[in-house]
Amino acid sequence: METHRFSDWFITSEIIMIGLTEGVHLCGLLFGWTFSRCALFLGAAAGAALAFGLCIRIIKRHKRRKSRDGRGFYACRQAFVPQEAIGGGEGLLYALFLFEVLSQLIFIRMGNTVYVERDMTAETVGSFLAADGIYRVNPMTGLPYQAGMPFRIKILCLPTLYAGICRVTGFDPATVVQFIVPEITLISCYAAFSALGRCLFPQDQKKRACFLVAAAFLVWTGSCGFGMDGFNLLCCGWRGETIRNCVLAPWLLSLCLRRKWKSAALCVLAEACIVWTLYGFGVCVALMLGMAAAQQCCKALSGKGRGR
Amino acid sequence: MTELLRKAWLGWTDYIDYGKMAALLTAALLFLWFGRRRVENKPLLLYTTIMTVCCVLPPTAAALMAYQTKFYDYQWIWSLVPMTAVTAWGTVLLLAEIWPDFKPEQWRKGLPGAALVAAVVILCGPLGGSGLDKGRQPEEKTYAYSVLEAVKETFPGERLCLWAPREIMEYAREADPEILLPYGRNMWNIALNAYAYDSYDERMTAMYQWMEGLQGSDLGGAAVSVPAAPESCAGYALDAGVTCILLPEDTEPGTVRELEKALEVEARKLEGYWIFYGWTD
Repeated sequence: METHRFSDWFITSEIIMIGLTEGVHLCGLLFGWTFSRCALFLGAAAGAALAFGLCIRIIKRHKRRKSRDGRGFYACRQAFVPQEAIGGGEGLLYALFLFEVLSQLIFIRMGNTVYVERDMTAETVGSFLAADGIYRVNPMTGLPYQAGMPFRIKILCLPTLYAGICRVTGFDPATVVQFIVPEITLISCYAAFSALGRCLFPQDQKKRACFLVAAAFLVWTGSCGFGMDGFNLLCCGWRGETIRNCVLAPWLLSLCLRRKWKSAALCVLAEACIVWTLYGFGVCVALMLGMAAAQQCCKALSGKGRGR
Repeated sequence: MTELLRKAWLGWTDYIDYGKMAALLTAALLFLWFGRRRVENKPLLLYTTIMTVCCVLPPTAAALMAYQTKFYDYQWIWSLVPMTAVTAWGTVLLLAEIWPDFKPEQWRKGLPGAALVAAVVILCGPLGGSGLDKGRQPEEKTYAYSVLEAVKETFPGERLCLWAPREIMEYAREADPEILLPYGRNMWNIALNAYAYDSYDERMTAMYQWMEGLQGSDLGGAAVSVPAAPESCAGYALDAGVTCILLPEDTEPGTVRELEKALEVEARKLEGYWIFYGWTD
Protein backbone atom coordinates (compact mmCIF):
# COMPACT_ATOMS: atom_id res chain seq x y z
CA MET A 1 0.00 0.00 0.00
CA GLU A 2 1.26 3.44 -0.88
CA THR A 3 2.57 5.56 1.99
CA HIS A 4 0.64 8.71 2.79
CA ARG A 5 2.44 11.70 1.37
CA PHE A 6 2.77 15.09 2.97
CA SER A 7 0.05 16.43 0.65
CA ASP A 8 -2.29 13.68 1.86
CA TRP A 9 -1.59 14.47 5.50
CA PHE A 10 -2.02 18.17 4.87
CA ILE A 11 -5.42 17.86 3.20
CA THR A 12 -6.62 15.16 5.60
CA SER A 13 -5.85 17.42 8.57
CA GLU A 14 -7.76 20.25 6.89
CA ILE A 15 -10.75 17.97 6.42
CA ILE A 16 -10.54 16.85 10.06
CA MET A 17 -10.50 20.54 11.04
CA ILE A 18 -13.63 21.10 8.95
CA GLY A 19 -15.27 18.14 10.68
CA LEU A 20 -14.40 19.43 14.14
CA THR A 21 -15.64 22.89 13.24
CA GLU A 22 -18.90 21.44 11.97
CA GLY A 23 -19.42 19.68 15.31
CA VAL A 24 -18.79 22.84 17.29
CA HIS A 25 -20.86 24.91 14.84
CA LEU A 26 -23.85 22.59 15.26
CA CYS A 27 -23.48 22.73 19.06
CA GLY A 28 -23.48 26.52 18.81
CA LEU A 29 -26.62 26.46 16.70
CA LEU A 30 -28.60 23.80 18.50
CA PHE A 31 -27.64 24.53 22.11
CA GLY A 32 -27.26 28.28 21.74
CA TRP A 33 -23.61 28.34 22.82
CA THR A 34 -21.86 31.68 22.74
CA PHE A 35 -19.17 32.04 20.11
CA SER A 36 -16.49 32.35 22.79
CA ARG A 37 -17.49 28.94 24.09
CA CYS A 38 -17.53 27.52 20.56
CA ALA A 39 -14.05 28.92 19.90
CA LEU A 40 -12.79 27.42 23.16
CA PHE A 41 -14.19 24.00 22.29
CA LEU A 42 -12.85 24.25 18.74
CA GLY A 43 -9.38 25.08 20.03
CA ALA A 44 -9.53 22.22 22.54
CA ALA A 45 -10.80 19.76 19.90
CA ALA A 46 -8.13 20.84 17.41
CA GLY A 47 -5.45 20.49 20.11
CA ALA A 48 -6.75 17.05 21.10
CA ALA A 49 -6.85 15.93 17.45
CA LEU A 50 -3.30 17.14 16.93
CA ALA A 51 -2.08 15.34 20.08
CA PHE A 52 -3.94 12.18 19.03
CA GLY A 53 -2.44 12.33 15.54
CA LEU A 54 1.05 12.80 16.94
CA CYS A 55 0.57 9.90 19.40
CA ILE A 56 -0.58 7.59 16.61
CA ARG A 57 2.39 8.63 14.53
CA ILE A 58 4.86 8.09 17.37
CA ILE A 59 3.37 4.68 18.20
CA LYS A 60 3.51 3.60 14.55
CA ARG A 61 7.08 4.79 14.27
CA HIS A 62 8.02 3.00 17.48
CA LYS A 63 6.46 -0.25 16.24
CA ARG A 64 8.33 -0.01 12.96
CA ARG A 65 11.61 0.64 14.77
CA LYS A 66 10.93 -2.38 16.93
CA SER A 67 10.62 -4.54 13.86
CA ARG A 68 14.27 -3.50 13.21
CA ASP A 69 14.03 -3.64 9.50
CA GLY A 70 14.79 0.03 9.25
CA ARG A 71 11.75 0.69 7.07
CA GLY A 72 9.97 2.72 9.74
CA PHE A 73 12.36 5.60 9.53
CA TYR A 74 12.54 5.26 5.76
CA ALA A 75 8.78 5.32 5.36
CA CYS A 76 8.54 8.34 7.66
CA ARG A 77 11.26 10.09 5.68
CA GLN A 78 9.50 9.18 2.47
CA ALA A 79 6.38 10.97 3.60
CA PHE A 80 8.14 14.32 3.70
CA VAL A 81 10.94 14.28 1.13
CA PRO A 82 10.89 13.28 -2.53
CA GLN A 83 12.09 9.73 -3.14
CA GLU A 84 14.31 10.63 -6.07
CA ALA A 85 16.92 13.36 -6.04
CA ILE A 86 15.83 16.48 -7.90
CA GLY A 87 17.86 16.91 -11.07
CA GLY A 88 18.65 20.09 -13.01
CA GLY A 89 15.60 19.88 -15.30
CA GLU A 90 13.16 19.22 -12.46
CA GLY A 91 14.83 21.91 -10.37
CA LEU A 92 14.16 24.46 -13.08
CA LEU A 93 10.54 23.33 -13.42
CA TYR A 94 10.02 23.44 -9.65
CA ALA A 95 11.59 26.92 -9.56
CA LEU A 96 9.15 28.02 -12.28
CA PHE A 97 6.27 26.50 -10.32
CA LEU A 98 7.42 28.26 -7.15
CA PHE A 99 7.59 31.55 -9.06
CA GLU A 100 4.02 31.05 -10.29
CA VAL A 101 2.73 30.23 -6.80
CA LEU A 102 4.55 33.20 -5.24
CA SER A 103 3.16 35.54 -7.87
CA GLN A 104 -0.33 34.19 -7.14
CA LEU A 105 0.14 34.65 -3.39
CA ILE A 106 1.22 38.25 -4.03
CA PHE A 107 -1.79 38.74 -6.31
CA ILE A 108 -4.12 37.56 -3.53
CA ARG A 109 -2.32 39.76 -0.99
CA MET A 110 -2.81 42.82 -3.21
CA GLY A 111 -6.55 42.20 -2.89
CA ASN A 112 -7.57 44.30 -5.88
CA THR A 113 -9.78 41.63 -7.39
CA VAL A 114 -11.60 40.32 -4.35
CA TYR A 115 -15.06 39.23 -5.59
CA VAL A 116 -17.79 39.62 -2.99
CA GLU A 117 -20.78 40.19 -5.26
CA ARG A 118 -22.70 37.07 -4.18
CA ASP A 119 -20.97 36.51 -0.89
CA MET A 120 -21.24 37.80 2.66
CA THR A 121 -18.71 35.65 4.49
CA ALA A 122 -16.72 38.58 5.92
CA GLU A 123 -19.89 40.15 7.33
CA THR A 124 -21.06 36.78 8.70
CA VAL A 125 -17.74 36.17 10.47
CA GLY A 126 -17.85 39.71 11.86
CA SER A 127 -21.41 39.22 13.10
CA PHE A 128 -20.40 36.00 14.92
CA LEU A 129 -17.62 37.86 16.72
CA ALA A 130 -19.61 41.02 17.44
CA ALA A 131 -22.78 39.24 18.64
CA ASP A 132 -20.76 36.48 20.34
CA GLY A 133 -23.05 33.87 18.84
CA ILE A 134 -23.72 31.93 15.67
CA TYR A 135 -26.34 33.53 13.39
CA ARG A 136 -27.88 35.56 16.19
CA VAL A 137 -28.11 38.61 13.95
CA ASN A 138 -28.50 39.18 10.22
CA PRO A 139 -24.94 39.69 8.93
CA MET A 140 -26.15 42.27 6.42
CA THR A 141 -27.51 44.67 9.02
CA GLY A 142 -26.34 43.47 12.44
CA LEU A 143 -29.99 43.49 13.57
CA PRO A 144 -31.90 40.37 14.69
CA TYR A 145 -33.40 38.20 11.96
CA GLN A 146 -37.07 38.85 11.19
CA ALA A 147 -37.87 35.63 9.33
CA GLY A 148 -34.67 33.63 9.77
CA MET A 149 -32.57 31.87 7.17
CA PRO A 150 -32.53 28.53 5.32
CA PHE A 151 -31.36 25.72 7.60
CA ARG A 152 -29.22 24.21 4.84
CA ILE A 153 -27.10 27.39 4.79
CA LYS A 154 -27.18 27.75 8.55
CA ILE A 155 -25.38 24.43 9.09
CA LEU A 156 -22.41 25.30 6.83
CA CYS A 157 -19.44 25.71 9.13
CA LEU A 158 -16.85 27.82 7.30
CA PRO A 159 -17.84 31.14 8.96
CA THR A 160 -17.28 29.53 12.38
CA LEU A 161 -13.87 28.26 11.28
CA TYR A 162 -12.87 31.70 9.98
CA ALA A 163 -14.20 33.40 13.10
CA GLY A 164 -12.12 30.94 15.14
CA ILE A 165 -9.04 31.93 13.10
CA CYS A 166 -9.85 35.60 13.78
CA ARG A 167 -10.08 34.86 17.50
CA VAL A 168 -6.78 32.97 17.55
CA THR A 169 -4.77 35.33 15.32
CA GLY A 170 -6.38 38.61 16.31
CA PHE A 171 -6.83 39.63 12.68
CA ASP A 172 -10.04 41.31 11.54
CA PRO A 173 -12.62 39.24 9.60
CA ALA A 174 -11.91 40.90 6.25
CA THR A 175 -8.18 40.11 6.49
CA VAL A 176 -8.78 36.49 7.43
CA VAL A 177 -11.51 35.91 4.85
CA GLN A 178 -10.08 37.81 1.90
CA PHE A 179 -6.34 37.25 2.35
CA ILE A 180 -5.25 34.55 4.80
CA VAL A 181 -7.80 31.85 3.91
CA PRO A 182 -7.41 32.23 0.10
CA GLU A 183 -3.65 31.84 0.52
CA ILE A 184 -4.14 28.64 2.53
CA THR A 185 -6.62 27.43 -0.10
CA LEU A 186 -4.13 28.14 -2.89
CA ILE A 187 -1.40 26.15 -1.15
CA SER A 188 -3.87 23.33 -0.40
CA CYS A 189 -4.90 23.33 -4.05
CA TYR A 190 -1.33 22.71 -5.16
CA ALA A 191 -0.96 20.03 -2.49
CA ALA A 192 -3.98 18.32 -4.06
CA PHE A 193 -2.54 18.75 -7.57
CA SER A 194 0.75 17.34 -6.31
CA ALA A 195 -1.08 14.22 -5.06
CA LEU A 196 -2.87 13.95 -8.40
CA GLY A 197 0.36 14.43 -10.34
CA ARG A 198 1.89 11.58 -8.37
CA CYS A 199 -0.95 9.32 -9.56
CA LEU A 200 -0.79 10.45 -13.18
CA PHE A 201 3.01 10.24 -13.47
CA PRO A 202 4.12 7.79 -10.76
CA GLN A 203 7.55 7.15 -12.28
CA ASP A 204 8.40 10.50 -13.79
CA GLN A 205 9.32 13.38 -11.52
CA LYS A 206 9.97 15.75 -14.41
CA LYS A 207 6.44 15.28 -15.71
CA ARG A 208 5.09 15.75 -12.20
CA ALA A 209 6.94 19.04 -11.93
CA CYS A 210 5.72 20.02 -15.40
CA PHE A 211 2.15 19.08 -14.36
CA LEU A 212 2.33 21.50 -11.44
CA VAL A 213 3.73 24.23 -13.69
CA ALA A 214 0.92 23.65 -16.20
CA ALA A 215 -1.74 23.62 -13.47
CA ALA A 216 -0.43 26.91 -12.01
CA PHE A 217 -0.34 28.40 -15.50
CA LEU A 218 -3.96 27.36 -16.09
CA VAL A 219 -4.90 28.94 -12.76
CA TRP A 220 -3.41 32.23 -13.98
CA THR A 221 -5.15 31.88 -17.32
CA GLY A 222 -8.55 31.27 -15.78
CA SER A 223 -8.25 34.09 -13.26
CA CYS A 224 -10.64 36.35 -15.19
CA GLY A 225 -13.37 33.81 -15.95
CA PHE A 226 -16.19 33.53 -13.44
CA GLY A 227 -16.52 29.93 -12.20
CA MET A 228 -13.05 28.92 -13.44
CA ASP A 229 -10.59 27.43 -10.95
CA GLY A 230 -8.24 30.38 -11.43
CA PHE A 231 -10.97 32.90 -10.69
CA ASN A 232 -12.15 30.95 -7.66
CA LEU A 233 -8.65 30.65 -6.23
CA LEU A 234 -7.43 34.17 -6.89
CA CYS A 235 -10.62 36.19 -6.37
CA CYS A 236 -12.73 34.24 -3.87
CA GLY A 237 -10.57 31.58 -2.26
CA TRP A 238 -12.52 31.59 1.01
CA ARG A 239 -15.72 30.20 -0.49
CA GLY A 240 -16.80 26.63 0.13
CA GLU A 241 -17.21 26.10 -3.61
CA THR A 242 -13.57 27.06 -4.17
CA ILE A 243 -12.31 24.69 -1.49
CA ARG A 244 -14.45 21.94 -2.99
CA ASN A 245 -13.45 22.54 -6.63
CA CYS A 246 -9.78 23.30 -6.12
CA VAL A 247 -8.80 21.24 -3.08
CA LEU A 248 -11.28 18.44 -2.48
CA ALA A 249 -12.03 17.52 -6.10
CA PRO A 250 -8.40 17.08 -7.33
CA TRP A 251 -7.49 15.25 -4.15
CA LEU A 252 -10.58 13.07 -4.48
CA LEU A 253 -9.56 12.24 -8.05
CA SER A 254 -6.14 11.15 -6.84
CA LEU A 255 -7.79 9.01 -4.14
CA CYS A 256 -10.12 7.42 -6.70
CA LEU A 257 -7.15 6.62 -8.94
CA ARG A 258 -5.44 5.03 -5.91
CA ARG A 259 -8.73 3.30 -4.93
CA LYS A 260 -8.68 4.80 -1.43
CA TRP A 261 -12.43 4.93 -1.05
CA LYS A 262 -12.52 5.52 2.70
CA SER A 263 -10.50 8.72 2.39
CA ALA A 264 -12.65 9.66 -0.60
CA ALA A 265 -15.72 9.45 1.63
CA LEU A 266 -14.09 12.10 3.86
CA CYS A 267 -14.22 14.54 0.92
CA VAL A 268 -17.94 13.89 0.53
CA LEU A 269 -18.53 14.66 4.19
CA ALA A 270 -16.34 17.75 4.03
CA GLU A 271 -18.29 19.05 1.04
CA ALA A 272 -21.58 18.59 2.89
CA CYS A 273 -20.17 20.75 5.71
CA ILE A 274 -18.99 23.63 3.52
CA VAL A 275 -21.23 23.84 0.44
CA TRP A 276 -24.97 23.93 -0.07
CA THR A 277 -25.64 20.55 -1.69
CA LEU A 278 -28.69 18.44 -2.40
CA TYR A 279 -28.83 16.83 1.05
CA GLY A 280 -25.12 16.00 0.89
CA PHE A 281 -25.25 14.83 -2.74
CA GLY A 282 -22.84 17.27 -4.27
CA VAL A 283 -19.90 17.29 -6.60
CA CYS A 284 -17.76 14.94 -4.53
CA VAL A 285 -20.38 12.17 -4.45
CA ALA A 286 -20.91 12.47 -8.19
CA LEU A 287 -17.17 12.49 -8.80
CA MET A 288 -16.56 9.48 -6.60
CA LEU A 289 -19.44 7.45 -8.04
CA GLY A 290 -18.54 8.55 -11.57
CA MET A 291 -14.93 7.49 -11.15
CA ALA A 292 -15.96 4.17 -9.57
CA ALA A 293 -18.36 3.50 -12.46
CA ALA A 294 -15.70 4.49 -15.01
CA GLN A 295 -13.21 2.13 -13.37
CA GLN A 296 -15.72 -0.73 -13.47
CA CYS A 297 -16.55 0.08 -17.07
CA CYS A 298 -12.88 0.11 -18.10
CA LYS A 299 -12.29 -3.12 -16.20
CA ALA A 300 -15.22 -4.81 -17.94
CA LEU A 301 -14.11 -3.53 -21.34
CA SER A 302 -10.50 -4.64 -20.84
CA GLY A 303 -11.79 -8.08 -19.67
CA LYS A 304 -13.84 -8.38 -22.87
CA GLY A 305 -10.84 -7.32 -24.94
CA ARG A 306 -8.66 -9.97 -23.30
CA GLY A 307 -11.39 -12.59 -23.77
CA ARG A 308 -11.39 -11.98 -27.51
CA MET B 1 -37.93 22.34 -16.56
CA THR B 2 -38.22 24.60 -19.62
CA GLU B 3 -36.81 27.47 -17.59
CA LEU B 4 -33.91 25.28 -16.47
CA LEU B 5 -33.26 24.22 -20.08
CA ARG B 6 -33.27 27.86 -21.16
CA LYS B 7 -30.83 28.72 -18.36
CA ALA B 8 -28.60 25.79 -19.37
CA TRP B 9 -28.52 26.95 -22.98
CA LEU B 10 -27.90 30.61 -22.11
CA GLY B 11 -25.33 29.53 -19.54
CA TRP B 12 -23.42 27.58 -22.16
CA THR B 13 -23.40 30.49 -24.64
CA ASP B 14 -22.22 32.82 -21.86
CA TYR B 15 -19.60 30.30 -20.87
CA ILE B 16 -18.04 30.16 -24.31
CA ASP B 17 -18.39 33.91 -24.89
CA TYR B 18 -15.71 34.62 -22.32
CA GLY B 19 -12.86 32.18 -22.89
CA LYS B 20 -12.51 28.93 -24.69
CA MET B 21 -11.33 26.75 -21.82
CA ALA B 22 -13.94 24.16 -22.74
CA ALA B 23 -12.42 23.99 -26.24
CA LEU B 24 -8.98 23.59 -24.70
CA LEU B 25 -10.29 20.77 -22.53
CA THR B 26 -11.84 19.09 -25.58
CA ALA B 27 -8.53 19.36 -27.42
CA ALA B 28 -6.73 17.85 -24.41
CA LEU B 29 -9.27 15.00 -24.27
CA LEU B 30 -8.92 14.29 -27.98
CA PHE B 31 -5.16 14.25 -27.64
CA LEU B 32 -5.30 11.96 -24.60
CA TRP B 33 -7.68 9.53 -26.32
CA PHE B 34 -6.29 9.46 -29.84
CA GLY B 35 -2.98 11.31 -29.87
CA ARG B 36 -0.91 8.65 -28.12
CA ARG B 37 -0.10 5.01 -28.72
CA ARG B 38 -1.24 3.88 -25.27
CA VAL B 39 -4.16 5.43 -23.42
CA GLU B 40 -3.36 5.80 -19.71
CA ASN B 41 -5.71 6.35 -16.78
CA LYS B 42 -8.74 5.43 -18.85
CA PRO B 43 -11.25 5.78 -15.98
CA LEU B 44 -10.29 9.43 -15.47
CA LEU B 45 -10.50 10.08 -19.21
CA LEU B 46 -13.82 8.30 -19.54
CA TYR B 47 -15.33 10.14 -16.58
CA THR B 48 -14.10 13.54 -17.82
CA THR B 49 -15.34 12.92 -21.36
CA ILE B 50 -18.82 11.87 -20.24
CA MET B 51 -19.15 14.76 -17.78
CA THR B 52 -17.96 17.27 -20.39
CA VAL B 53 -20.60 16.06 -22.83
CA CYS B 54 -23.22 16.21 -20.06
CA CYS B 55 -22.26 19.82 -19.24
CA VAL B 56 -22.49 20.87 -22.90
CA LEU B 57 -25.82 19.24 -23.89
CA PRO B 58 -28.75 21.33 -22.57
CA PRO B 59 -30.96 18.47 -21.26
CA THR B 60 -28.16 16.85 -19.25
CA ALA B 61 -26.84 20.27 -18.21
CA ALA B 62 -30.33 21.14 -16.92
CA ALA B 63 -30.43 17.86 -15.00
CA LEU B 64 -27.05 18.65 -13.47
CA MET B 65 -28.26 22.14 -12.53
CA ALA B 66 -31.24 20.54 -10.79
CA TYR B 67 -28.81 18.20 -9.02
CA GLN B 68 -26.84 21.24 -7.87
CA THR B 69 -29.97 22.48 -6.01
CA LYS B 70 -30.83 25.09 -8.74
CA PHE B 71 -29.21 27.60 -6.35
CA TYR B 72 -26.08 27.84 -8.47
CA ASP B 73 -25.55 29.30 -11.93
CA TYR B 74 -24.75 27.20 -14.98
CA GLN B 75 -21.00 27.73 -14.59
CA TRP B 76 -20.98 25.72 -11.37
CA ILE B 77 -21.96 22.43 -13.05
CA TRP B 78 -18.47 22.51 -14.57
CA SER B 79 -17.27 21.74 -11.02
CA LEU B 80 -18.04 18.14 -11.94
CA VAL B 81 -15.42 18.24 -14.68
CA PRO B 82 -11.76 18.18 -13.57
CA MET B 83 -10.96 20.77 -16.20
CA THR B 84 -7.69 22.17 -14.85
CA ALA B 85 -6.32 18.75 -13.95
CA VAL B 86 -7.11 17.07 -17.27
CA THR B 87 -6.02 20.06 -19.36
CA ALA B 88 -2.73 20.21 -17.44
CA TRP B 89 -2.30 16.46 -17.89
CA GLY B 90 -2.86 16.72 -21.64
CA THR B 91 -0.53 19.73 -21.84
CA VAL B 92 2.27 17.84 -20.07
CA LEU B 93 1.96 14.83 -22.36
CA LEU B 94 1.86 17.05 -25.45
CA LEU B 95 4.96 18.91 -24.23
CA ALA B 96 6.64 15.58 -23.55
CA GLU B 97 6.04 14.65 -27.19
CA ILE B 98 7.51 17.93 -28.42
CA TRP B 99 10.34 18.09 -25.90
CA PRO B 100 11.19 14.49 -24.86
CA ASP B 101 12.33 14.26 -21.24
CA PHE B 102 12.60 18.07 -21.13
CA LYS B 103 16.33 17.74 -21.75
CA PRO B 104 17.97 21.18 -21.43
CA GLU B 105 20.22 20.50 -24.44
CA GLN B 106 17.14 20.12 -26.68
CA TRP B 107 15.83 23.57 -25.84
CA ARG B 108 16.03 24.77 -29.44
CA LYS B 109 13.38 22.24 -30.37
CA GLY B 110 11.41 22.25 -27.13
CA LEU B 111 11.22 25.89 -26.15
CA PRO B 112 9.37 27.19 -29.24
CA GLY B 113 6.90 24.30 -28.88
CA ALA B 114 6.37 25.09 -25.20
CA ALA B 115 5.92 28.78 -26.01
CA LEU B 116 3.34 27.90 -28.67
CA VAL B 117 1.41 25.70 -26.24
CA ALA B 118 1.52 28.50 -23.62
CA ALA B 119 0.25 31.00 -26.22
CA VAL B 120 -2.66 28.71 -27.15
CA VAL B 121 -3.56 28.28 -23.46
CA ILE B 122 -3.47 32.06 -22.91
CA LEU B 123 -5.62 32.70 -25.98
CA CYS B 124 -8.16 30.17 -24.75
CA GLY B 125 -8.50 32.01 -21.43
CA PRO B 126 -10.95 34.86 -20.80
CA LEU B 127 -8.15 37.40 -21.51
CA GLY B 128 -9.41 39.87 -18.94
CA GLY B 129 -13.01 39.87 -20.15
CA SER B 130 -15.06 37.88 -17.67
CA GLY B 131 -18.38 39.54 -18.41
CA LEU B 132 -18.65 40.35 -14.73
CA ASP B 133 -19.31 43.69 -13.15
CA LYS B 134 -15.95 44.94 -11.84
CA GLY B 135 -17.65 45.41 -8.46
CA ARG B 136 -15.56 46.99 -5.76
CA GLN B 137 -12.72 49.34 -6.56
CA PRO B 138 -9.74 49.45 -4.16
CA GLU B 139 -9.71 53.25 -3.93
CA GLU B 140 -13.46 53.28 -3.19
CA LYS B 141 -12.87 50.78 -0.39
CA THR B 142 -10.00 52.77 1.12
CA TYR B 143 -12.08 55.95 1.05
CA ALA B 144 -15.12 54.23 2.60
CA TYR B 145 -12.96 52.75 5.37
CA SER B 146 -11.49 56.20 6.17
CA VAL B 147 -14.97 57.76 6.30
CA LEU B 148 -16.25 54.98 8.57
CA GLU B 149 -13.24 55.41 10.85
CA ALA B 150 -13.95 59.15 11.06
CA VAL B 151 -17.63 58.48 11.80
CA LYS B 152 -16.70 56.07 14.61
CA GLU B 153 -14.39 58.68 16.12
CA THR B 154 -16.97 61.45 15.83
CA PHE B 155 -20.07 59.56 16.94
CA PRO B 156 -20.46 59.98 20.69
CA GLY B 157 -22.94 57.18 21.53
CA GLU B 158 -22.43 53.46 21.94
CA ARG B 159 -24.95 52.13 19.45
CA LEU B 160 -24.03 53.31 15.98
CA CYS B 161 -26.80 52.52 13.48
CA LEU B 162 -25.72 54.20 10.27
CA TRP B 163 -27.77 55.29 7.29
CA ALA B 164 -25.54 56.49 4.48
CA PRO B 165 -25.09 56.34 0.72
CA ARG B 166 -24.48 52.94 -0.83
CA GLU B 167 -20.73 53.44 -1.34
CA ILE B 168 -20.33 53.70 2.45
CA MET B 169 -22.89 51.10 3.53
CA GLU B 170 -21.32 48.57 1.14
CA TYR B 171 -18.26 48.42 3.40
CA ALA B 172 -19.69 49.33 6.81
CA ARG B 173 -20.35 45.83 8.17
CA GLU B 174 -17.09 44.52 6.77
CA ALA B 175 -15.03 47.38 8.21
CA ASP B 176 -16.62 47.19 11.64
CA PRO B 177 -19.16 44.50 12.62
CA GLU B 178 -20.27 46.70 15.53
CA ILE B 179 -21.86 49.16 13.08
CA LEU B 180 -25.56 48.44 12.53
CA LEU B 181 -27.44 49.30 9.35
CA PRO B 182 -31.15 49.77 8.60
CA TYR B 183 -30.60 47.89 5.32
CA GLY B 184 -27.56 46.04 4.02
CA ARG B 185 -25.75 45.13 0.83
CA ASN B 186 -28.57 42.77 -0.13
CA MET B 187 -30.71 45.83 -0.96
CA TRP B 188 -28.73 46.38 -4.18
CA ASN B 189 -27.05 42.97 -4.48
CA ILE B 190 -30.20 40.90 -4.91
CA ALA B 191 -28.37 37.55 -5.07
CA LEU B 192 -27.55 37.91 -1.37
CA ASN B 193 -31.24 37.58 -0.49
CA ALA B 194 -30.87 33.82 -1.03
CA TYR B 195 -29.07 33.64 2.31
CA ALA B 196 -32.04 34.76 4.41
CA TYR B 197 -35.82 34.78 4.40
CA ASP B 198 -35.84 38.41 5.59
CA SER B 199 -37.00 41.06 3.17
CA TYR B 200 -37.17 44.85 3.29
CA ASP B 201 -40.45 46.64 3.59
CA GLU B 202 -41.56 49.61 1.48
CA ARG B 203 -40.23 52.13 3.99
CA MET B 204 -36.70 50.69 3.80
CA THR B 205 -36.89 50.71 0.01
CA ALA B 206 -38.07 54.32 0.13
CA MET B 207 -35.14 55.26 2.38
CA TYR B 208 -32.71 53.58 -0.03
CA GLN B 209 -34.26 55.24 -3.08
CA TRP B 210 -34.25 58.64 -1.44
CA MET B 211 -30.60 58.36 -0.36
CA GLU B 212 -29.42 57.15 -3.76
CA GLY B 213 -31.64 59.66 -5.52
CA LEU B 214 -29.55 62.43 -3.94
CA GLN B 215 -26.64 61.33 -6.12
CA GLY B 216 -28.67 60.03 -9.04
CA SER B 217 -27.17 56.51 -8.54
CA ASP B 218 -28.23 53.36 -10.30
CA LEU B 219 -30.68 51.71 -7.91
CA GLY B 220 -29.58 48.14 -8.49
CA GLY B 221 -32.40 45.69 -7.91
CA ALA B 222 -34.66 47.94 -5.83
CA ALA B 223 -37.98 48.85 -7.44
CA VAL B 224 -38.32 52.55 -8.24
CA SER B 225 -41.38 54.37 -6.97
CA VAL B 226 -42.29 57.97 -6.24
CA PRO B 227 -39.43 59.53 -4.20
CA ALA B 228 -40.28 60.09 -0.53
CA ALA B 229 -39.94 63.47 1.17
CA PRO B 230 -36.95 64.10 3.49
CA GLU B 231 -39.23 64.37 6.54
CA SER B 232 -40.89 61.02 5.90
CA CYS B 233 -37.51 59.37 5.32
CA ALA B 234 -36.23 60.87 8.56
CA GLY B 235 -39.28 59.38 10.31
CA TYR B 236 -38.62 55.97 8.74
CA ALA B 237 -34.97 56.18 9.81
CA LEU B 238 -35.92 57.00 13.41
CA ASP B 239 -38.38 54.08 13.44
CA ALA B 240 -35.61 51.78 12.14
CA GLY B 241 -33.38 52.83 15.04
CA VAL B 242 -30.91 54.88 12.97
CA THR B 243 -28.61 56.94 15.19
CA CYS B 244 -26.37 58.54 12.57
CA ILE B 245 -26.99 59.75 9.02
CA LEU B 246 -24.49 60.65 6.31
CA LEU B 247 -25.50 62.65 3.25
CA PRO B 248 -23.22 63.43 0.30
CA GLU B 249 -21.58 66.84 0.59
CA ASP B 250 -23.11 68.00 -2.71
CA THR B 251 -26.67 67.45 -1.42
CA GLU B 252 -28.87 70.46 -2.10
CA PRO B 253 -28.78 72.90 0.88
CA GLY B 254 -32.57 72.86 1.05
CA THR B 255 -32.62 69.10 1.61
CA VAL B 256 -29.96 69.34 4.33
CA ARG B 257 -31.97 72.07 6.07
CA GLU B 258 -35.18 70.04 5.85
CA LEU B 259 -33.48 67.05 7.42
CA GLU B 260 -31.93 69.24 10.13
CA LYS B 261 -35.40 70.56 10.89
CA ALA B 262 -36.98 67.10 10.95
CA LEU B 263 -34.29 65.65 13.24
CA GLU B 264 -33.76 68.84 15.27
CA VAL B 265 -29.99 68.60 14.97
CA GLU B 266 -27.32 70.56 13.15
CA ALA B 267 -25.46 68.87 10.27
CA ARG B 268 -21.64 68.96 10.25
CA LYS B 269 -19.17 68.30 7.50
CA LEU B 270 -17.07 65.14 7.71
CA GLU B 271 -14.76 63.70 5.03
CA GLY B 272 -16.88 64.82 2.09
CA TYR B 273 -20.26 64.14 3.76
CA TRP B 274 -22.84 65.84 5.95
CA ILE B 275 -23.17 63.99 9.23
CA PHE B 276 -26.29 64.10 11.42
CA TYR B 277 -26.38 62.61 14.92
CA GLY B 278 -27.36 63.35 18.48
CA TRP B 279 -31.15 63.59 18.17
CA THR B 280 -33.47 62.42 20.91
CA ASP B 281 -35.99 59.63 20.25
